[in-house]
Amino acid sequence: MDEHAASLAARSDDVAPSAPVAEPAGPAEPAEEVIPDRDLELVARVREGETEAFNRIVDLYQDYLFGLAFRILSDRDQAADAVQDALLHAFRHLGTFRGGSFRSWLTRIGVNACMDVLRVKRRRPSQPFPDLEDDSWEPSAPMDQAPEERAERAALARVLREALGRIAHDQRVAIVLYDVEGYDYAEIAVMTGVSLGTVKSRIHRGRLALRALLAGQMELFR
Amino acid sequence: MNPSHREHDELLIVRAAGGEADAVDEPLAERQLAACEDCRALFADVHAIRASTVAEVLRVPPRPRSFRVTADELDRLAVPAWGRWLGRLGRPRFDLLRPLATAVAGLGLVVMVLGSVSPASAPAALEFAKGPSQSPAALLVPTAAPTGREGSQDSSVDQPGASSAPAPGLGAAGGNGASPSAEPSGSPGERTALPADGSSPAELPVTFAGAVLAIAGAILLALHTAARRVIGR
Repeated sequence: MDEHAASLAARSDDVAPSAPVAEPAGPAEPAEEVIPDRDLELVARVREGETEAFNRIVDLYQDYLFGLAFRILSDRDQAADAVQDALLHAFRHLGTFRGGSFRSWLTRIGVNACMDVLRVKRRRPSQPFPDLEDDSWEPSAPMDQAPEERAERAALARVLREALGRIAHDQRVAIVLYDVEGYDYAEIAVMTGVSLGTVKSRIHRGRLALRALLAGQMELFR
Repeated sequence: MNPSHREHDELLIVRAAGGEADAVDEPLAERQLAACEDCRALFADVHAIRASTVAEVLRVPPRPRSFRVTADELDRLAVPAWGRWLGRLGRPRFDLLRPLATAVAGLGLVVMVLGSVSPASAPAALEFAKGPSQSPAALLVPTAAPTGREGSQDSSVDQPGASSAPAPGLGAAGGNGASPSAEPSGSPGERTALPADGSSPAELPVTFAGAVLAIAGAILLALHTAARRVIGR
């Protein structure tokens, strides 16, 4: 009893969502307070007709968007298509951006593009997760990491991605945005256009579904 | 499996494992965890899965290509100046425009219909009825004027004996009335109460105003729809 109470009290802070993880290939991010100004300035320049400023936005966000799309779609090509669609949509509809966080606005467009891909996928199912078996892109592990550890980590990533790919789309999107990308409930509610309660429900039910799918492989997670 | 576990609230344990249990949830979760081994296993599993669902584990391959867009493509995609201007109309602050335009168009249609079939011309008819004969038939005739300026029903009224109580000025009121011989036999002042084509002086402006309103409303509605489409709403 006391042990579990202590666990509850700890509220698993060790895995609390952190700030969205910058993708490795992305450009160095300026200080936190400078980013909105930089984004807004670029948006203003694009609105004034300086189309090349949009490519600066692409440079800044393409890795982030691709990472998000890949985690949602589990497919490189589909993720690339979704990112391309999202960026073109963002350019065409830059007029609808009315301040606030440009990153969140762009994420919302990216999530919608991914959801469109998922809807098409559901209508025309093909090979479910073609990239899951292809680990060739995985960066080589540090030299100090034991081969067994590397293998375990790769297996963990694979089963987790596969399980994520099998839960409901909306639950997957919510879990990726919350647990992986580090957005809070309110931001996810805005991005996905649903209520706060629905976001929480999707996350909790998604975790329950993940646990059911991973029940036989839990030793990898401990 | 513990038989009583089926009755336990698993989502409560999931919330607790994710550190999202509130003040009400926490004591309940503690009781459930203390009493049920399956709940404890669920708690541990969800906690472990959540700890693994992080960016370091779910790594992303390098993107296959650059998503930069060429200047030509951007120029092609760029919204033209008229589109940007129109797009302003589609912003949320102008959302009231849509119901307003619909209301204006609807009102215009109603006014148009009423102006053409209802006693919109009643004042003229009343004035006209001041003539020698003030029978009800005399009052009714002008109301049919807009639809029957050249129609046979009005010309039938022109003919003597077509009505049970013909008024002296019926020919001018209902028929095409261009002929001076068909002028009513009332005083000159009475004659000027009706236009030469026989329609009442009041109904035309009313019908016209209705049409203008309806068209304006429809145009506004179409513009707002186009504006929303331009900005992708």
